[in-house]
Parts: sequence; structure tokens; C-alpha cells
Amino acid sequence: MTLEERTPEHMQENQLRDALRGLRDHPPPPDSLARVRLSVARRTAPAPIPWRVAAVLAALALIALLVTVRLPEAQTLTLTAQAPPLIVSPLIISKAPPLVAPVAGKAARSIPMRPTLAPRAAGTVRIETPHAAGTVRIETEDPEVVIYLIGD
Amino acid sequence: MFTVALSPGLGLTREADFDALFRAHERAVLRTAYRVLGNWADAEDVAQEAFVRLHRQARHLEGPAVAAWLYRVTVNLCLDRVRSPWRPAELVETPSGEPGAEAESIRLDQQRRLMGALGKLAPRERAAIVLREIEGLTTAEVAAALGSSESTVRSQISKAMDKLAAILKGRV
Repeated sequence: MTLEERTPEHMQENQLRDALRGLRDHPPPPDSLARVRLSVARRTAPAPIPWRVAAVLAALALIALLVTVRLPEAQTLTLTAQAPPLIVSPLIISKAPPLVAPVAGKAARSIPMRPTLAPRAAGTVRIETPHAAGTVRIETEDPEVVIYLIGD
Repeated sequence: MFTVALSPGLGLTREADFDALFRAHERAVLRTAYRVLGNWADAEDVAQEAFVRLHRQARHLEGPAVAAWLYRVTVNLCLDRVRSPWRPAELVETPSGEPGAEAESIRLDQQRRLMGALGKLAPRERAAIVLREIEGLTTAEVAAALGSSESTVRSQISKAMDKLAAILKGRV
């Protein structure tokens, strides 16, 4: 094959295919390959976190921790507040000091009660002259009616 | 065919796995991006973006699926960037003065012309040629990478090869 026959203009299809395949063996420039390696290494490396971002993240983590720790207590309070009052009310009422009974007791103590008297036998009248000679005490059938006769 | 396939079931749970995968595919990804885009600067951007995405998705990919995923992402990123100007003259020069320097010079010239011709293809045709004829993927793998059917890929490659031949013969 002459040099002229080996030029692309004189290639048959198979020769064209061989020539194209020859391009595969053509290596990329070393500096080009190095640049790709460097760029890929830089872009796939884990990025360092700036200290300000780290501080903000730490603060957020602390807040989240505090919220998490306080959350169960808050939930308990909420549940207590939402509990039906029917259960709580009887306890309150039962523990509350009695308001009416002491007043009634005091009234009972302050107001002297009249002793109940046994009814006398019907038709009996008793006449006494106990203290003074001019005074006569007459008890009637009604135990509450007593007649005093006072004379000189 | 994908040149690097991890053992089935190997999950990318460690950085070491990603590093191994990166080393295995870095040249192919960069080379593919360059063939489709036509300049190394854009190819570098695409390659690094593809590997960064791989790093994020690593836990969800296993075995041979990694290579297929990587090619698909690379091609999609390239097709998103095809508005950039085509600069095919950035082939790496090999040192001259060595034995066989003349043959090497001819080879480089041939590659320059091929790259120039590739640059005149439609982006998807170019991607199909790069993956199938240069990287050596199967038609099914190219179809998966381009999100097309195998018949569509065959048609694209056939038309692209005819265009390439016409371009190289100076008919276009």
C-alpha cells in the first residue's frame, strides 16, 4: 500500500473502520486527565463545615434536645387539663370543708333549746306555794301554761 | 463492548470502589467526550460532571450497569454542549525524530482528517460513530447510551459512514 492509498480519501469502508478504531488508541493528554482527576476528587470530597455553620448546627441540636426532653412533661400537663371534670369534681367536693354543717351546729349551740316536757295527765291541776306566802303557782293540763297568783 | 465490567453484585458502597471505577473509565469517558465535542476543555468538563454524578448515584448502580450508565450520561452531557464550536485540531502530537516518525506523521494526519470529518456529522450521528466504531460498543449498548432503538442506531451509523467517506473524498 502506498502512502497515498493510506490517506482517508482512498479508504474503503473497512479501512475507514480501522482508521476510526485507531482513534481509540489515541491517549488523552496527561494534563487533561490530571485536571479531570483533580476536579472529580475536589467535587466528591466531603466539604469541610465552616465554624459558623457548625455553631448554628450545634445550637439547633441543643434546642432540639431541650424540646425533646421537656416534651413528655408538657404532654402530661395537657392530658391532666383535658381530663373530664366528672372525676375531679367529686374529689374536690369531698375534700372541701363542709360549709353548712358548722353554721347549723353553732346555731344549735347558740340558741337554747326548750326542754321537752312530758304531758301531764289530763284533768290534773297541782297547786304549790313554794317561796312566798302570798304566791300561788297553779299548773294546768298544758305543761306550758302555769298560772301564778300573787297577792298581798 | 464495554471494556470494564465489575463483578456482578458489587455495590459501590465504599470510596475505594468509586476510585477503582474512576480509574477504569476515566480515559474512555474523556476520550469519548472529546470525540463527540471536538475539544479537550469541554471534554474535561463533561468527564468530571459524569464522574461526579456517578459518585452520587454509586449506591444505586452495580456491575456492568455502571459502564452503560456512564456512557449514557457522558453522551447526554456532550449532546447538551454541541452548540460549542467544533475544534478538531487539538490532537496530541507525539515526539518527532523517533524511528517510524514518517509513518507516525501520516497516522496523525489521518486522524486529524478523520476528526475533521467527524465534526461535520450531525451530533447524534457523531455520537453513534464514536461509541460504535471508535469505542467498540455493541449496537445494543450504543442504542442504550443514545436512548434509541437498535435499528435506529444501525441506520444512523450506516448513513454516518457514507457521509464520512464522502467528506474524506472531498465530495461534501
